Amino acid sequence: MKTNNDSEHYFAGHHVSDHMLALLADSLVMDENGAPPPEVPGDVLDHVDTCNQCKDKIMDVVLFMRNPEATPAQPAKPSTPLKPLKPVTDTFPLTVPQRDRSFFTGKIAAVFVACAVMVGAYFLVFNDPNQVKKLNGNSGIGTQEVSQELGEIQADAVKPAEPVSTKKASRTAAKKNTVQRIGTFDVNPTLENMIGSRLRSGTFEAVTPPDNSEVDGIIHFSWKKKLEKVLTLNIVDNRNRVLYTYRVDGPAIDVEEDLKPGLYYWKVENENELLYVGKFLKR
Amino acid sequence: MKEHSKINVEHCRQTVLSLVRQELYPIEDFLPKLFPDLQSVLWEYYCERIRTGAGNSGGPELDGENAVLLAKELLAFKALLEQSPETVVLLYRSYIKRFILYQLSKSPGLKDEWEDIFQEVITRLISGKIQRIREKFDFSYGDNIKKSTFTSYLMVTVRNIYMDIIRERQVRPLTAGELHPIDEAERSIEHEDTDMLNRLVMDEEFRKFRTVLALHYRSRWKLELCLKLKCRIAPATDDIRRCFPSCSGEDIDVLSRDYKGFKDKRLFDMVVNVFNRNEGRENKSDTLRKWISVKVDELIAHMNRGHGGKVYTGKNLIDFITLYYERFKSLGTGRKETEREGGFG
Repeated sequence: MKTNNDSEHYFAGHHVSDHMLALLADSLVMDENGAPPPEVPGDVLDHVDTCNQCKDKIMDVVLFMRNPEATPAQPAKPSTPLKPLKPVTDTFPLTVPQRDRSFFTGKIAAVFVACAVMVGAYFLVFNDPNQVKKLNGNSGIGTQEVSQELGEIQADAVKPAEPVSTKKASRTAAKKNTVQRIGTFDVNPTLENMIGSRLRSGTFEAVTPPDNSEVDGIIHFSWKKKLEKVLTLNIVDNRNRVLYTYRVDGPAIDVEEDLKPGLYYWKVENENELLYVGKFLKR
Repeated sequence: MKEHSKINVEHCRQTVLSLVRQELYPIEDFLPKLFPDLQSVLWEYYCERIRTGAGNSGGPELDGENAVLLAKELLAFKALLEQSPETVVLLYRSYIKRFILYQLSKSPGLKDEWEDIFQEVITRLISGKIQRIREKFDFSYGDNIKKSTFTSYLMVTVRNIYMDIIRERQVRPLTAGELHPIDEAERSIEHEDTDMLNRLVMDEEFRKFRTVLALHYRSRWKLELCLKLKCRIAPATDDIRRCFPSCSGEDIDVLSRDYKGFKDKRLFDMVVNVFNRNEGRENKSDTLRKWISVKVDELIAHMNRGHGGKVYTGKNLIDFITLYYERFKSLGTGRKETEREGGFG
């Protein structure tokens, strides 16, 4: 541990050390007029007075730490395209322009017109059986009979959907769950927060596949060192539903499964705890 | 037997977490919203240490007193940093994520890469930086470990790592013509909230400006005196004495005159002798004028920092400073400042 008499405690290269910057930042977080702590020597203050880089470092930390809750834990998705900055010609105080209210009036009118067109189409087309037969004959869809008296439509029996077939894993010791439905590319917030090594010491280091990488064909899952016990590898979809499970005795496993395009997570566990969560994409 | 064991573990868990929240990591220092993983991380670490032999116990089925003693030994912040600095990083994980998102709010083009950047920051912290912090951080500031100072220290390191990553990705910082947060706010507020938003924005900007001034540890009073002159605001006697403690009455008269209508060159021609007399120098008025001009440019850069774009310019910064001094009529730490009703306190 460095002593207060050591100049390296105060400076790192040509600038103030991180420890001194932290002390100064700390004094300014609660009180913007905060006096520097007595532990900070005069030559450090002399340097900060004239060094913009050190000031910027302190400012970045202070402005965040004053109100860290103001920053959301997850980034917000942009709802509308960004608009360019207006030239700064106004003087203070700032003014805010009024929202264009005619935009909403036009939108309501467009919805009304669309509804009117759909109602008119219904009375003109679907109430006329000849028109319906012509449409059904050209489109090639299943035959439908229209009741002229009541306007009811009775659909012919359609072929029942084929049951989803199960597949066996390619590894002899593997077992898997039936694929229910493959999601889209939306992230799972719970799993996102778990990505990375879950060990307290952070010593479980996954090698492949890297997070957010795109995979195709055989997926090679690997980690840096073989752990003592047999591990379980789970591949889950972005709704955290287990799709495939493997028992792994070693630092790697090759998986070849017919994954649909989407976002997937993989989990490595031992019998007691979750060790690692990773993420990959299949396009 | 298994049920008895389960109950013991749960009781131990409650005891340990109660100690964590009340004594070792008080809620007021470690807000649950900012440190949502704190309890789970510490409990898992505690269990793992017991499993690996800490406290000569075969499992976490400890009675209350032993659990408390062991928890104090293992989970105290200083001990945790010494024994398992990576666990400290896990404790701060959510906090660090917010900091990264805060920094990225100034660089919209990078927002899609926030996960990669965040992971890279965590990786670099765990793989070396946190050990360096452990070696260099000085716990000798009194008996109480200054956790807030450690948080600041960690954030300075995180900020350095973040800037290194950004530089490696060769990101162009936002320049004039690109979006800044005030435009985003304009899109979401109702017209009736305009005044409230303006006041909140201005209060925050005034606070930031005061912080920038405070960072001029040696030249703050001279800087503020010159800014007032430049904005044509007559400095008070106290303002002048703070800059020049042994200033004469005549010099005070010269500095506190009304210079509205005078150009900068003429103004500094008239005041430079006062500065020279009190500083023991022989500078020309151009030197003083250029000094304040450089300082104004630096202030513009610092004030633009939190916006990710060029909000402040030479002209509107002077307007801003004029507004600032109209609201806060007295200078200096400890002076009661004039407050607008419902405004910043």
